Amino acid sequence: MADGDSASADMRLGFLGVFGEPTDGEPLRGALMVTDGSGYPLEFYAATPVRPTLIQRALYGDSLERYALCELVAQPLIESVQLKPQAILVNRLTTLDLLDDASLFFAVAADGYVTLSHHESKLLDPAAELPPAVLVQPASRDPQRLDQAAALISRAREHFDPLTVFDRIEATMQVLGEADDRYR
Amino acid sequence: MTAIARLRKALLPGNRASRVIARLPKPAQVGSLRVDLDRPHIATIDDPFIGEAAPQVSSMEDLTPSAQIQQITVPPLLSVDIVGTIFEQGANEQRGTALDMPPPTPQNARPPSAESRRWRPHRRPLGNVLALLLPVLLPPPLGRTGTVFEDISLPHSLYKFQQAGIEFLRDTKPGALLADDMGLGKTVQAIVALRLLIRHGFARRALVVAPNSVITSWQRHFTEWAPELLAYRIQGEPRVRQMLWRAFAEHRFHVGIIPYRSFTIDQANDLTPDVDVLIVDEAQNIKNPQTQQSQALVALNTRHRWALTGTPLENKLSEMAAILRFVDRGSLPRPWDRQAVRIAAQRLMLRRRKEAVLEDLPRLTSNVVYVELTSQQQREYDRAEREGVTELYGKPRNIANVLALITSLKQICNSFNGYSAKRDWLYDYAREAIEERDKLLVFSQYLRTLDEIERDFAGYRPMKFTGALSGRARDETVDAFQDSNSRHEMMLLQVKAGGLGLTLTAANRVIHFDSWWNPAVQSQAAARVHRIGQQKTVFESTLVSTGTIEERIQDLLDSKRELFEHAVDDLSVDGMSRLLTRDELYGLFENVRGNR
Repeated sequence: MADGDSASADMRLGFLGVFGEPTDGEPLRGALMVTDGSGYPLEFYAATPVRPTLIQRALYGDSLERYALCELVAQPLIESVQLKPQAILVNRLTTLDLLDDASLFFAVAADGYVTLSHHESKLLDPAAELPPAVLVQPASRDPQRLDQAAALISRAREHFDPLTVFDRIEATMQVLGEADDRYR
Repeated sequence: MTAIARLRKALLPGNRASRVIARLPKPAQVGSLRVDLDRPHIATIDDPFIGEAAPQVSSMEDLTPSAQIQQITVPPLLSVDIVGTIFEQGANEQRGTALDMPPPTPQNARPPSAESRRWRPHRRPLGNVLALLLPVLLPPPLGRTGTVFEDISLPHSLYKFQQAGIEFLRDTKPGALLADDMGLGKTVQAIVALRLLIRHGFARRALVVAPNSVITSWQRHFTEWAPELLAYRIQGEPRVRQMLWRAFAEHRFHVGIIPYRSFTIDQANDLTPDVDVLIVDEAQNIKNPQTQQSQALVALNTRHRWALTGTPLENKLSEMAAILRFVDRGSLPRPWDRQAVRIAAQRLMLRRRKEAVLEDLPRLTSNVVYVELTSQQQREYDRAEREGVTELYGKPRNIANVLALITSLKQICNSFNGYSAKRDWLYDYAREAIEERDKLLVFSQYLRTLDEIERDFAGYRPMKFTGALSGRARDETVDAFQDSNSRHEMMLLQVKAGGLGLTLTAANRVIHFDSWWNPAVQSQAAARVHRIGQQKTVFESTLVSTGTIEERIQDLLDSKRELFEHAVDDLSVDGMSRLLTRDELYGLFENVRGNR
């Protein structure tokens, strides 16, 4: 096995996909997949959807999204993982903002994605056939971590497109929902 | 602090495990309060917008009606359940690459791909939801470092022509007819094409409809060539099938494999769900669009239709037109003409010949062996034919009588009262073959003939493959014969039962003890051994008794076959049949009658 192959096989990347807007009445669905550096799934965990009722939405107010996402979805998913990832990518910037101070989390976004002023971003190394992309973290976090993570993700992008992983996770959630009512 | 604020605070993280109780200043402000008079202390909020987790409102016993203070219990957002799986890495690697495949040829002997070295999925039983997820989670093969085939785990390398066939199936819409010669791996091509569609997210569920005799073969090929896909047979009692269809409809497995007959019945009973890909194996079975099974297949709602057959055109161009109409969703105009079929075939059909694509495949040598009947057989044959012809021409013309006479004469050609020139030839031939460590397949259309050969050749421990075998017995028979340590030197097969879909490459000698009416069926039989995986030259021998009805039929079929073979490729077979016509069958006895 070539060195590059070996390195990508040893890499552990987490992908935390969160779908739905609980504040708009949609169920919040979350899943976490750990892959190697080639994008092959090593572990996958899905959470049952969180469905706040009208009253709960009113009563939780602004705290609803953070509470549901962090406490109910992200935290149990991360606790379930056995192969601890070197970095966890999330599929939207708001998720990144809501997560508590955890230097493990980053968002990956296609070039041109509008980031907010309180975000720090780094252009990922160009990869054949993939569009340019940036890695994002809240500006309050350690900039060195962003550099390290960018190097890691750039290596992974030689093998697969991290942005497409979330499509796969979302499709998987649909399969899960069709097969098991609890995940519908 | 207001009650609402207190309630919010109570619901915030840290307090979520406790039951939340808050006092509201006024009752019945939320929707309409319905009080159950029989149970006055319980009230429920009846608000259609609240949804599943409707809070309960309990009136307090110590409250005065005027105070209207109630206790409201709102369940906190509950913790979620997590379901998850760990995909096994590297486990069963050796086992996974060497399942009952034919010995590797130089071209397919490459080691498994990098993916299969790294990763090997669990196979999980029906009902485990997590097993369904892997194909969706796998990255789409992009072929960055080569072809897409290097990105997916394959137990053996594919031939170039197979890769082209896979891409043809994957890319041809709305359907495709893969009409490669028998033995070129149509099953494998279809399975890998399906994997690609699923990995790219274009399909999630597929159904394979195939003859009963190849159902197991399909399932094994799925296990080997698409280990991440759950493929199940939909077979058994109607009640069992109903359960399996329900599971299939609920996406409990990715691929259903079902025999034609069961599919036809179940489709009529509305059990079959829509699928993304419908694969029809041995598609010559749908050459007649009027049959129930053809109509059932056409009726199934599906995005991709793939028809697989090595003989898209057994007799008439209309057969191929029917298959093309199936894959093309009926857009081929009807009544069809040759030009329309030709155009549709160019677009929808891919056909490769063995000799063109498999340079390394050992040669197939076919010959007709003419055998003189024994004197006892000859006497009986002459008597039977004389009497038969007299009777035939003494009655009104009836095709059934002609066929009955032919059958009785052919059986005499096989053996009579223990005398059999063919068997005597087979003794010598088999001894020589087995000395050379070759195995034999002997085909006959008559069970009685197979029984006699089984008895006479008991020393070679012949196995018998007939339509009477159960599915499991068929599998065991094939496995036992294919086993390299097997001591079974000979397999006896009923043409119609063993002529399709089996891989019997352990043998390299094929003997047609008697000839079937349709040469295409006979070719199918020979293709059981002359296919990928065969290491030796294949010898096909057709036994014909000289001076008998067998020889006359053989001559007639040979002349028709020659014309037909030239015509098939350019589809100029309009109005032509490889089978004997009614007049030709009557004509078989004209000379005999004239000589009398």
